[in-house]
Amino acid sequence: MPTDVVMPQMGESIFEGTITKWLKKAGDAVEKDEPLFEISTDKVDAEIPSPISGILTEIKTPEGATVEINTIVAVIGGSASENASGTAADTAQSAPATKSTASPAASDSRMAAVPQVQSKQKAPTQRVAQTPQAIGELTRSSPLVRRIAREHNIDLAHVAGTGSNGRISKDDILNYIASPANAASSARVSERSAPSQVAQVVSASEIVPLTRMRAIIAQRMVESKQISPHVHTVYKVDMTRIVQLRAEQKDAFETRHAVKLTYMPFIATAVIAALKKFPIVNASLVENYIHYHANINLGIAVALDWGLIVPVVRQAEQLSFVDLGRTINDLAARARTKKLTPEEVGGSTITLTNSGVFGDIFSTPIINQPESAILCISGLHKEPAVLTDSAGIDTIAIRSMQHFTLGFDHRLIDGADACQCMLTLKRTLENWDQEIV
Amino acid sequence: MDSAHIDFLYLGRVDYDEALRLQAELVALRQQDRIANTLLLLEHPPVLTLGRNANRANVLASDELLARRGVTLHQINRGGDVTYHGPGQLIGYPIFDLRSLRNPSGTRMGPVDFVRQMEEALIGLCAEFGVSAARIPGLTGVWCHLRWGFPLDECRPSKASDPPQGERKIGAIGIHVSRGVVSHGFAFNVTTNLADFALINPCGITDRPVTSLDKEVANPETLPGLEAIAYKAAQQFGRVLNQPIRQLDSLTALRGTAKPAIYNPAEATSSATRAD
Repeated sequence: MPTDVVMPQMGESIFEGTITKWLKKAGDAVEKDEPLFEISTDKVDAEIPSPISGILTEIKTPEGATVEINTIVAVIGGSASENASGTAADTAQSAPATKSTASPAASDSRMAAVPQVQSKQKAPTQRVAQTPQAIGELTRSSPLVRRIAREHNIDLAHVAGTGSNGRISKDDILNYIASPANAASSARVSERSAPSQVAQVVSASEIVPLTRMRAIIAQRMVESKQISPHVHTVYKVDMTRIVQLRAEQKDAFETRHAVKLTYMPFIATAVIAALKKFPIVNASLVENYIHYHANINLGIAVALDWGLIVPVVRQAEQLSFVDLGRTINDLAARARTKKLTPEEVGGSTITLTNSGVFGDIFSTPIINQPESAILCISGLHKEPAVLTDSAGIDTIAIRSMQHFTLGFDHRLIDGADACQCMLTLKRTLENWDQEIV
Repeated sequence: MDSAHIDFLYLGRVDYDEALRLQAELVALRQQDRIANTLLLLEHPPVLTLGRNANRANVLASDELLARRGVTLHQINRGGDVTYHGPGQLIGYPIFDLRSLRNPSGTRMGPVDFVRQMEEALIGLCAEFGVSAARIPGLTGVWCHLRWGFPLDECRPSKASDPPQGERKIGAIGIHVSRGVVSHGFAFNVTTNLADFALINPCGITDRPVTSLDKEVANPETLPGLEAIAYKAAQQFGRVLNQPIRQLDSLTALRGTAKPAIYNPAEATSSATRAD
C-alpha cells in the first residue's frame, strides 16, 4: 500500500513549509523514522522522519519549494516490487493528489461565489476565473495569502506569483497591495462584489483612507480595551484656592521664569505626590509580572488637528514646579508644531489628558498601554457649593470646581487604591501649600 | 526520570566543538528515550557559527582579524544565520523531544512553537532582573528597548519589515530538530563583550543592534554570576513548559541517569511510542 508523506505543521500559526533538502532520492529504501527530508523556516530546521518503511517511489515537491501543510510531498511504496510498477503507481497517485489540492480552491470559490454571481456581467475576468484552469491558479497560494486577499478584497487571479509554478507568496500580495495602481483596482473589485444595498449606502459617503496616525490610534485603542478591564472613578476637586493663587502669581511667575503659569504644573505636582504614595498606579503588567516603574514619566496627551500625540515628561518626580511647567508647555507647543524628537515620545508610565479645554463635565479616557492608568482633566467651572465652617455652619459659596477622572486597569489596581490615590490628588490640590516660585 | 521533568546542568566554559560532540551524544540518548529532556547551560570561548541559511558576507571581519582575536569559525546544522558566542553569554542547548511536549492548547508542539516557548522563557528571565523584553514578529529572538509609545508615527514594530526604532537583541535563538529531538538553542547576552558583535551582522540583521543584560539593568554590579543566571534560566524553562526541573551536578551524573540501551529495535520503537 503506498503511503503519502505530507508536509508537517511546524507550529500552531505556521501554514506552509519549505523543503530545503531531500535526504533520499526516488527509488531509495527508507526505514520508518529515518530522516527523509529537511524543512526550514527562519530559525528552525528540522529533519522530517519517514512515517513508514518502504521505497520512496515519488518526490512531488522539489528542494526549495514551499507548500502548504498537509500537501503530499512524496509517496512511499510498500515494497520494492511495487516500485517496479512505479509508472502506473505514479499515475494513479497523481490523480487523487490533484484532486486534493483542488479541493481547498473549490471551497474558496464557494466562499466567493455569492458576490461573483451577482457581478457576472460586469466582471468578465471573474467569469474566466471560474474555469478549472484558473481555479488551479488560485490554489497556488497559502491560507495566509488568501486571508490577506479576503481582507483587502483582492481577487488573487490579478496577482502575479513569483514563487515556483507562479505560486503567490505573502510578499507578492503585499507588494500588490502596496502598489497604488492596484489599490484602485482592488477597490474596484470590492465595489463590484459588494451586495447592492451596501453599495447604495456607501455611494453617499465620502471614503477616505486612514492616515498612519489614525490607523495606529485605532489599533491601540482597540488593543487597550481588549487588554485592560477599564474602571473609571470621577472626583470633583475644589480648585478655588489654586485659581486664586494662580491669579495672584501669574504675572510675577511669568516675569521671573519666562514661563506661562498654567494649571498643569499644579495638577502634575499633585499627580506625582499621589503616585509616590500609590506606586501601583504607576506600574505596568507585563507577561504576568508587575513592573513598578522607578520613575514617573508623565505622558501629556496633546490634541492635534490631525490626531493625538503624547510627549513625555521624563523623571517628573525630580523636577521642580517651575521645570514641570516649563517642560509641559514646551512639549505641548512643539507637539503642535511637529517639532518633537522621537526620544520625547513613548515610555510614559501614566498619561494625563486634558479635555477641559473643550468644556466637558467629565470624560472616560482609554488607558495608554502598557500603562495602568490615565487621568482625564475636565473643564474648570464655577458652581455653588455648600461650605461648612469650623463652627459647623453651612453657607453657599461660588467655588471653582473641576472634575478629574482616573481610568485604571482593574487587573492591577483595585478600586480602593485608585480612590485613595485620587483622594491624595484632591487633597493636594484643595489644600495647596507649596511654594511655586 | 519516570515522570515528565527537565534535567539541567551548568557546564561552565566549553569549547564549541566539545559542545557539538556532547549535543550529538545526548541527542542520540534522547532519541532512544534513555534520558529526560535535558537543558545544557554553558558559555563558549569566542566563536562565530554559521547556520544553514548563513550568508558568509555577514561575517564582516577578515579571517586574519578573526584569528588575531582568537575567534574560530564553525559551519553548523542549525537554522539561522551568523551568530557570535563568547564569554559572558549564557548558552542553552535544550535536548528536548518535541513529541513529549504539548502546546498550552493541547496540540502537538511543533519546532516553531518550541522556539516561541524559548523566547517566552528568556523574556521571563529578563523580567526577573526588571528588564522589559518582548518578541518582534518575524524576527525570532528576544528584544529590549521596544517602544511602547502612544499613537504616533513611530511605534513598536509589529513585524519584521517595520523600520527599526532602537530595539536591541538580547537573546538569539536557532534550533535543529532531528527525529523530534531539538539541538542547538539560545544565546543570551549577560555580560558579553558587545564589541565582538562588530565582527558580524548578527543573524544577517544589519540595522538592529545587540545588547546585554548588564547594559539593561539599573545596577549591573548587583547581577549574579553566570551560573546563578543559568539556574534562573532553567527555572524559566520549567515555568513555560510547566514541568519541574532537576539540577544535575555533572555530565557523569547525567550519563548515570541514562537508561540502559535497548537492543531490541522493536522494543525501542514501542518505548518511543509510549513517550508520545
